[in-house]
This record gives sequence, C-alpha cells and structure tokens, in this order.
Amino acid sequence: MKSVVVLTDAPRVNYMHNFVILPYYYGTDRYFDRPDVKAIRETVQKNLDTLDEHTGWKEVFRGRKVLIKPNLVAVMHKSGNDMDDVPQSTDPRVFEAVVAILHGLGCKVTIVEGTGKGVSTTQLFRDVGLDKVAKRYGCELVAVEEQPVDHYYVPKAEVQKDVYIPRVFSQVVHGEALYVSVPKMKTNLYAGVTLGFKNAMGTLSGNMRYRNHSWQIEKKLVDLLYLFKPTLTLIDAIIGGEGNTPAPVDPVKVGMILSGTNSVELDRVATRVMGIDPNELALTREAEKRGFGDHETQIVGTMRVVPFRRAESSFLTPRFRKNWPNVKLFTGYTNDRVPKVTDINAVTPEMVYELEGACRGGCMATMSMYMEMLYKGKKKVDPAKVRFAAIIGDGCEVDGKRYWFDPDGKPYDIAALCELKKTYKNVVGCGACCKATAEACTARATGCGNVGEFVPLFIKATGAFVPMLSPDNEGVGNLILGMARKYFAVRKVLKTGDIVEIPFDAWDDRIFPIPELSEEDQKKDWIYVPMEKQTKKQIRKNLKDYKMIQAG
Amino acid sequence: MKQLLQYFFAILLWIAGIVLWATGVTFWLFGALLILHGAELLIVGYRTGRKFGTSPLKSIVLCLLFGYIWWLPVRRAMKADDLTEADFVEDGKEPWREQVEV
Repeated sequence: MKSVVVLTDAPRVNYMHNFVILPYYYGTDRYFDRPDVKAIRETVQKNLDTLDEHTGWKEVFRGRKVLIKPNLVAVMHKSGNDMDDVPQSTDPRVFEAVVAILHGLGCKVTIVEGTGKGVSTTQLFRDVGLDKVAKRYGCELVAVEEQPVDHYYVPKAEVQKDVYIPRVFSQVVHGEALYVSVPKMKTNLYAGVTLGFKNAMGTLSGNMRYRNHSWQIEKKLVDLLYLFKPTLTLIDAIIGGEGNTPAPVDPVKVGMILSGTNSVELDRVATRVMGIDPNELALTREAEKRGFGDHETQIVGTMRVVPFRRAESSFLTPRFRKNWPNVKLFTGYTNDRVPKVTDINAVTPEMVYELEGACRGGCMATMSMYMEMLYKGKKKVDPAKVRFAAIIGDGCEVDGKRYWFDPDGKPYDIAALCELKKTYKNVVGCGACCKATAEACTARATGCGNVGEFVPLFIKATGAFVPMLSPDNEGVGNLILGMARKYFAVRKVLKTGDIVEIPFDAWDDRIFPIPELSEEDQKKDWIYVPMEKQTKKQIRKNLKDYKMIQAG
Repeated sequence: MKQLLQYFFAILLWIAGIVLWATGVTFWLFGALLILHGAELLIVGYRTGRKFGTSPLKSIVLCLLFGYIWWLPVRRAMKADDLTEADFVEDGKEPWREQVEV
C-alpha cells in the first residue's frame, strides 16, 4: 500500500470523561448518543475514510483476519495517583470505534495485548471494558502472556536476532492475519515517545519483553519490524499524555486522530505534532537507517503542533533536583556512547549529564519511573525525607583508575564512594555495569533495568511504596485477582507441552546469538525455528518453576 | 484496598455467625446478617447490580454476602458515569499540566 498519513481534528467537545475506562452503560443507545462518543466515532470514521481514498486499505482488509492491539497500561481509574484518571492507555472510545469499522468490513477481529510482568492483561481488558466491546463485535480477546511462544531467527536484526513471539502473532508473520496498532500519543522514559511501532513492545511476553530492554531498546524495537509491522496504525491523540510514562502522566488536550499505512512515517508526523523533532529520537533515526521509512509519504490534513513536556530519564534535570533535593546520583561510564573523560578535574555538570545518558533506555528510565510514581502519588511523600545516593555505570577510566562523578562534576574513586555510607543510610548500585562499586553500596540491583529488582530496592531507599502497590489503589483487588487468573491460564498452556516464556536471561546486557546461517538464510527477514513439545519431565519442571508472583 | 479489607471482615463476620449458630451460642448474628443483606438485596442491591451490567446470580451472591459494601461503591461508580450534555461542553481550559521552567 502507498504510504499516507492522515490527520483529522476532532470537534470541540469535552473528552475528559471515560478516557480510561468505558462507562457501565457501554453498548446502549445512551452510550452511542453521548456527544463525545459521537464526535470520536465520526472523527475516526472520517480519518479512516480519507486514508482509504488515498490507499484503498479497506479492500485489503475486507473479510480478513485482523489482530488489533491497543496500548493498555495498568494505571486504571483511581489507581492511587494524584489524578483519578491518567492518560496512559488507548482511549477505549477510540479503540471501540476502530473495532466497529473493522467489524463493518467483515474482518474477523482479535483484540490482543500484553502488559508488563505481574499484571494480567485479561484483567485489564475487563477493567477497561474491552470485554464488552469484544462481546458486541464477536471478537476474540488474547492476552499475550497466556500464549505459547514461537521461535524465530531474525538474521538482519542488530540486537534481537533470536526472538520468541506469542503464537498469535505468527499469523501476522506468515501473512495469515493483518495487524492494526492503536497506540496512545504520549511521551515515554525508555524511548522518548510511545507511538505506532513502539507499541510493538506489548507484543512480546514476559522475559522476552525485558531482554535488551536497555540502551539498545530502539534497535530492539526496530528489529521487530523485520518480523512483522502494522498494516494500519491509528494514533489516539484525543487526550495525549505528557511526562514520564510508564509512570503517571498529565493529560494534554490534543483532539486529533492520526492514521497511516507506514508506522515509522506516521510516528514521525505524530512526533512533530508533539513538538518534538523526530530526528532527535534514536527510535526514528534507527528505523530510518534500516530503510523502514518512506520519503514519498503523502501527508493529508493540517499538522497542528501541541507541545508536550518531554520524558526525563535523568536524576540531573532541574525538575528532578527540585522534586528530590536529597537524592544524589554518581555516574561514570567508559564506552563509545559517552564522551571520554581525560581530565577528572575538568568534568562539567553538562558532561555528567551526557555520561548519565549512556543508558537512558535502561536503568536510568527504570529509576526515574519509580521516583516519578512517588511524585505523582495521591499521598505526597515528603521530599526532604527521601535521602539516598545512587550509583550507575562502570566508571570513567582515567590513567588506569575508575571514577564516578557527582552532579557538579566532582570525581569519586571507589574509596571515595565507599565513604558515602557515612553520609547516606542507603547507597544504591543500579544495574549490571556498576558491579565494581559493590563494596560502596548498601544494596545493589544486579540486572539491567530490572523492574522487579529495582522496586524493593527503591522501596527501601526511599521508605515509600509506589501508589499502585498502596491501599490508595482502588484496583488492587482486581490486580490480585488478575494475577491468580493469569497463573491458572499459563499453567493450562504449560500442561500442553508448550512454553510461554524464554529462560530467565533478560537482564544480561548482551546480544543473544543465533547459529551460523547460510548466505541465503542471511538475506531473509526471518526464519521460523520449529520447537519440539516439552517432555513430561520438562512439563513438570515448567509447572514447578512457574510462580504466581515472579521476581525479576 | 479498603474495599478488599471490608470484604474480608464481612466474610469473617459470616464465619463467626455460622460458628456461633452451629455451636448453639446464638443464631442471631447469622440471622441479622441474612435479614439485613436480604432486605438490601430486595430494596436496592439487585436493581443496582443489574443496571451496572452484573449478572443476576452474581448480583444476588455479592449482595447477600457483602451488603452495602458491595452495592454502595457500584452506585457511586454509576453516579460518576451519569453525565449530562453540559458535561461535554469544552471549556477551553487545559487540564492540569505541570509548569516546568525551561
């Protein structure tokens, strides 16, 4: 299909009700007569009709099997944040409108999504009301973490050469189904923005999702495009989200629907709408470099810029230092992603900021997410009481010695770092790369950006629970119920001899190799690797190893 | 979380009622719970559950078991979703957006 991006402005209506969960009367005339619902359905219809005029996408989709993926984040109504509703997930009113159009084309629609570890997507479907949407349009609901996985080699990939994807997505890889991505317009700590093809993160389950979830995240996401890419992407920009996703974000009234047939080009346009230069984002640059963009893309509609506050994956920005004056970061790296320090006494705060940026998509993002969750909590934490030191990086090598720098550029060798324990009760080492600082730390996360490891560490360091795990979260009952549901659903799959997870290797900062391939195979986008069913002994082990609450 | 704790205490109360009745101490804790929740079911619980989209059986079980600690939050959630035309008029005001010095 021709690459076209369509932007459509929604009528001026207040969309601030039910942008997270559908009202209880969804499916009745009362719902469909609501001014906001009418306006959204008309805007989506108009947008996709315009796209069809230029690309003929409807004929491609008519009667086909379609996987449609929203972006659901486990921040539901009254989740203990300072706002009752946070624009993290795709607006269910927008999503419903897209499903209705696909249903009208005679498509066999499957709603598919996968959220982070510890959260049940099936429960999220219910919380949002998508189970009702599925019932109305006869769709199947699939939670990727409850799916058996299929194995592929991606020879052209730079990071994700060895990949396991939920079986349901094999239908897209093999051309049996089409894939529609319906993300939310929002900024993101890990990749800068979450739009069309960043939404693919939710197509990976469990440990695979977190493998190379580090400074390589952009390459990893682009690698997935060799395997499958959305045929159609529609971005929900009715209410956007600005700030530090996956932590709670602030709503931005954008009032727009964007769609396109090339997700990379659509993301480029959407990024501009957000007031961000797409070339600043490693995600766009990487996709462009590998030839997934299309310079012939036609843009239909008016590009109205609504500036978004950017995600700050940093402990050194003025905002962070104002919010958490007693949290001090010590950073130092020796690699080709950061400037080389030659004189330890000439390091400026700007240089420290650059050093910190060596792993913005990994540990820094995870740490920033935790602190932002605290900041956005309903019950405010006293910043004066949150006092700890954090160390990241393997240190800057100068004359054979390693150094870490405080925000002002003051150098610390390992002996000086050890002295920090006298000033700070908690000195936290963050990530696999700061192994050398183990003796200076009171506690250390040994994996790369491992959320499961960071949460207990930061609870101890900050002395505060994240709102999602606190009594302020009214959805905590559903969270627990969902975990139980997921546990039994996964066990059911394991009993059939399939696997739902890769071995737990997700926190290693390395590229997982594939066997040497023939010249012909190296030219392929993907190679399917058949997997044998597990033996009875392996099944027993898999069942034993699978826990309801998985650490890590 | 608060509601979960309330559910937990309601179940404890039922267990206490059954134990007291079974051991012959008193029937009236069990009886009072049954009468109270039964009345709530007839007056408000069943209607609320059905209007909210909860199945008839689930509405009966939840109301008999938990009484007002189940149906009151449901009613509150319904009230929050009951909007009028005026609620959809765009006032042009931005929602809360954090002001950050650049």
